Amino acid sequence: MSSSTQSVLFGVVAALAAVAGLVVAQLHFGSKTPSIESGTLLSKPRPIAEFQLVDSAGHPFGRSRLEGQWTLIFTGFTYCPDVCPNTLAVLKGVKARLDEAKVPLQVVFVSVDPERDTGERLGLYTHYFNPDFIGATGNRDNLDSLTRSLSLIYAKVPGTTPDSYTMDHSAALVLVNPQAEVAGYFLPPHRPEALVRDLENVVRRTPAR
Amino acid sequence: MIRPLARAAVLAGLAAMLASAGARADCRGLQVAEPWIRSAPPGAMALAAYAELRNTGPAPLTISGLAAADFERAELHRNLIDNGVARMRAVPRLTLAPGEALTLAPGGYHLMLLRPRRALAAGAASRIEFLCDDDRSAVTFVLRSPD
Repeated sequence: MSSSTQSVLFGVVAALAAVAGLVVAQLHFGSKTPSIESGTLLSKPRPIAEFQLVDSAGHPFGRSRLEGQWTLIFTGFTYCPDVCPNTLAVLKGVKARLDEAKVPLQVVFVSVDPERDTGERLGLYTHYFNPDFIGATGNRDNLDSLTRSLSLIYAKVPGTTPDSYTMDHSAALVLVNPQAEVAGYFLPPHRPEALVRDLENVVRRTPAR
Repeated sequence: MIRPLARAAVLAGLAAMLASAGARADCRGLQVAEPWIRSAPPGAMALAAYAELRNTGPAPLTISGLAAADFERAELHRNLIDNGVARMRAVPRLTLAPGEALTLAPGGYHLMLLRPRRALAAGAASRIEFLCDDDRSAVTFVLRSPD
């Protein structure tokens, strides 16, 4: 073998090794943040600051209630007759499918309308879709703190009468990992089939310890 | 002194008014197909109704309000997702051109029904009136789940 052939061969081997390295890296890092079809996963999950809400049963609902399990959070309000029941009905179907597949997921409906949403009203509304769904709300400061951590927005918008105001709210679902960090977002329109596939994929890959 | 002719004219006018009220003249050309109300959680203070509206008449048709005896308020609303934010807005007047149709469906236009005056379970019927400039059309909506 001439030295020029040797150096060409070396070059080819080096190139192959480089490609193999890229493939391995892609597989490795790719497996850390699987791609999902109905939203985006963050490459680096973001911690959620401490917050203090109250669930519909009157128990404190803070950061610790997000630890140790995967959670899906949706913000809304019970005077919402269309988008919120649409989304909660989708989540009802998704949750049933995940339960069948033994994929654990906590679903939390956070009301951004504490003026009208009492614990009792929030409980009736949330449990109508699934008795395991958690309804929670809190004062402005705590809602602001949580929605800021989740990168969600909400705003009160006056209606035709003082008590028929409405709430604008982010339509995304927030996926929270068992370390109470924002892991990703599911964006509307929420399609049950895709959500089930994505959630199974993500939760199975990194089960709660 | 009451002149007989004038009295007759007044009476005729009154009779015509009563007749038109009794006949419940419809919003001319308004056709409402597949009306339904989404059955809601117990105690829900806001419900949504859906249907397909069509102006079958030769002239533009304007819906300027709603009346629903089973609710404290009824308004035409529209939902939209704007930059990822769900926004619901009242639509005080809706004009349909001749032949134009508008589908009220989950996630878009709906009739917002605020604070029910009686419990409405799945299968219940509730009457909602569409108010046009001079007329009104009563439509019976039935409560059901969206599936």
